[in-house]
Amino acid sequence: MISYGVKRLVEAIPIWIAITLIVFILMNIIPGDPVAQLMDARSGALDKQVIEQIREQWGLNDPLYAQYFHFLQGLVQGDLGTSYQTRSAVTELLMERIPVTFQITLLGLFVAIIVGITLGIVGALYRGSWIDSMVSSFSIAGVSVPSFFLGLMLMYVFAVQFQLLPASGYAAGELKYLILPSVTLGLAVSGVIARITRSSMIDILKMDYMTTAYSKGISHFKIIIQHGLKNALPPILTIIGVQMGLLLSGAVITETIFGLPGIGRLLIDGILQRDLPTVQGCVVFIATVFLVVNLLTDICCRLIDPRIRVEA
Amino acid sequence: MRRSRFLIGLIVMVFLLSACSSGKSSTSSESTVTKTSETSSEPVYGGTLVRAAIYGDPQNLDPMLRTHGTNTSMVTWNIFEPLIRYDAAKGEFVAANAEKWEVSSDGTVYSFTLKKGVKFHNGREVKAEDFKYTMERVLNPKSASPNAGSLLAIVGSQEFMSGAATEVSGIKVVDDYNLEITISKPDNTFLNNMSLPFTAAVPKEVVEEKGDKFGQEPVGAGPFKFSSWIRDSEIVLEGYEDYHAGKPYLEKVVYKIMGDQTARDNSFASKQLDMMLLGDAQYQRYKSDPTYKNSIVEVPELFTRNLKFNLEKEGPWQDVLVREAINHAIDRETIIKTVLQDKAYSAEGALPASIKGYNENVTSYEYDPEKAKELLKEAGYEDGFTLPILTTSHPAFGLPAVEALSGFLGEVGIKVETEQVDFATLTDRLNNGDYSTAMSSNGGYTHPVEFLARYFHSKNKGASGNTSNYENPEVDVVLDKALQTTDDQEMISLAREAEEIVMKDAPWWFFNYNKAVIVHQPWVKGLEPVPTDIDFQDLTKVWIDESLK
Repeated sequence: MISYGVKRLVEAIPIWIAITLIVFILMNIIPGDPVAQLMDARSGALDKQVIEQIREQWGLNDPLYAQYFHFLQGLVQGDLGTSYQTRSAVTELLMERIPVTFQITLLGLFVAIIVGITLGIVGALYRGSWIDSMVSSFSIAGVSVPSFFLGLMLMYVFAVQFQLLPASGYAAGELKYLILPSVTLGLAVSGVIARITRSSMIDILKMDYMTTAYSKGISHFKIIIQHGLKNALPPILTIIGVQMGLLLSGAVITETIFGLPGIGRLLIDGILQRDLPTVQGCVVFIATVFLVVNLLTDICCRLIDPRIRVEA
Repeated sequence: MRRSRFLIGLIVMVFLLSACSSGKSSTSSESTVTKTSETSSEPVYGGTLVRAAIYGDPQNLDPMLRTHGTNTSMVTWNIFEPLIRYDAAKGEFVAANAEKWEVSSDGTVYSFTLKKGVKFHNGREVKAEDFKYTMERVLNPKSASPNAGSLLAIVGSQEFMSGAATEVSGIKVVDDYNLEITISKPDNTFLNNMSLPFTAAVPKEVVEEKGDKFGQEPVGAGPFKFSSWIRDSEIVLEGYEDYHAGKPYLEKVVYKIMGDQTARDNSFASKQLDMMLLGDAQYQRYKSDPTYKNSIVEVPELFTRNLKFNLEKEGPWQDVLVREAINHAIDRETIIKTVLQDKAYSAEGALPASIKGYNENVTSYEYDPEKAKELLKEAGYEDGFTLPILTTSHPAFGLPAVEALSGFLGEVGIKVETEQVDFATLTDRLNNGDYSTAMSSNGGYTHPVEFLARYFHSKNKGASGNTSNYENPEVDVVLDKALQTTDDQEMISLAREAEEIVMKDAPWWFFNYNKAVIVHQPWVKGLEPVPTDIDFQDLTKVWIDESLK
């Protein structure tokens, strides 16, 4: 298992390089000078001599291949460069933001798993009934309703009308600031999990061993969880792994709406300000998360279901 | 079930309410500073002001590393104490760290006498040497400071920047409390630099101790001390007990970094925000809200929104008659009333209404489509032409306005072709002259000559500000004279003369001056209509009336 994990990580290196190269090319293709972004955008007054000096200082006058090679060199040493805008090390900026994004992503995932799996099981058990229709409607709504709309509605109801939770902000991880963003993120993903859980459970409920379990007089709850859900888990886990990507991309919007200082906002700000080192840093981080989550998903599936043979 | 019905009902209600709350017309079109926030009782000490910072995170609070933009200066102006400050209401400079200053008769030597007993937040007294260190730090190429260009007028700055000199000869420390700055030629706009955060003294020992971290834990001598900063979320400042002009009323100021207007609305409605800037869409709603209609502060800000013509690009707009025709063809008043919800003032001239020397009798362009047609005929474009417009999505000078003006231009035969880009791209293309016409907003300058020279002097063509690439030797001569005079009245009359020529040449379609609006909770007192930028509030005057909470 360990050698399989290491092999997968080594195989990912070209993907990492390709991603950073694509981002580097894109950021250099799109119009917008990072030095011009340093200036007050509204007065738009630039001094040519000073601009030239800053470009020289930051190595922006070097050929593009040299700039990219310099970035790769830094990456190997764990140095993602210095942000043009904040003048801080990008690794430092990421370390500040990672906890925030992880907090809302993991809480969102928790909400999504609890809501999605519960509704999926209920839908499967009451297949064809009005309850099943409600679950299906919820799943479609979860996928369809844009998270910015859902977020603002939750904010309006719980922060403005009932004044139970803060409308936005972040106070060093206080839970009350994370509830609305996490629910916004989680509900968007729970619809997909509910659908997959429902169909997976429907297949399992038809199995002979389920009938055998019932004939042994085991309690209904125990059968559903131990025999049913356990065997239905592999496709659910796979979809949860895939949905991590949706959670991360959803975090970009959610962080913006709720004023959370996470990776998503850092990336958006970086793109808007043409802050290449910051954008590269965020992309490397997100690509790494994707890769690790996919790897963990595969390993979990293999542990749960020994029939799955991953070719090492 | 009952809850879900309630929620569905609630969603429908929100839609209905938001549909009902837009589109109300207003009759207010005053072009003067308006203030409806009244202070009725004596100020009291204590309390926290929570304000929204809508332009995003300031990124770095070291004033050397950021240009004078709203998102940064609204914070740094409270942490740092410049030599002088600009009193926007009086339109003049007032004492700050310097108690007095003089300009030599030839306009090249500025002598500042520092106030004794001004202390940095670390307790050390501010001396003249600190200002010299601060300005040399800005000019040091290793700093990569975007503000260095503003100090190149100082004698010896070029030699220092190129490494040929170890100090800037034009910045002379006479003694602990006297500083002399010599500039290479008279320039009456130079003094303004001494009022901006990037020339405010920073303590050398703290800068050296903190290194790159200074911008995250800044120390200055301003009325508020830095307390904490959660990036992209909030910045907290505390009132400085030993501030030389007296302890501020507020105990704390919290800047909530909130880019999303709906989130701001929700926070304000739930009383988590004490004050915020309003957008066009919210303006009429708050203006007619019984709770908040008397808690609104508004002002014509020093920005002129415009459609600029690239005069170095081939096209019908090269002809002044065409530019005049376009200025006559568009009914800007109607666009302001409808699209901008009356949250702007019609632009009569190039200079914004709040600027010193504003001339309300300058040549301006009335809406006259018939005259526009005549001018187009005279210019040989009777059958019209296609006008490419580069724009952003900005609600006040972006796509919505372009869509509105294209209707007016269509009536005189001009077909508009719109290209929408983001701000970074717009800036880049304006600076590189890669456009035909573009919608933008220019200003922020308190000095009329600085404003006009930045955008209309040929020496600033291209990225230096004159992105229209407008060139008129007559304007250059008048502006040069206006920059060098030491007589205020002469400066104003020359600025007006230059503006008159510019207006006749019409390098822009003059659209509107921003009406900046702040709404605040009833317990916030002492907010002022600051035309420089309404976000640049003097927080030493602001206080909280807890009895109204």
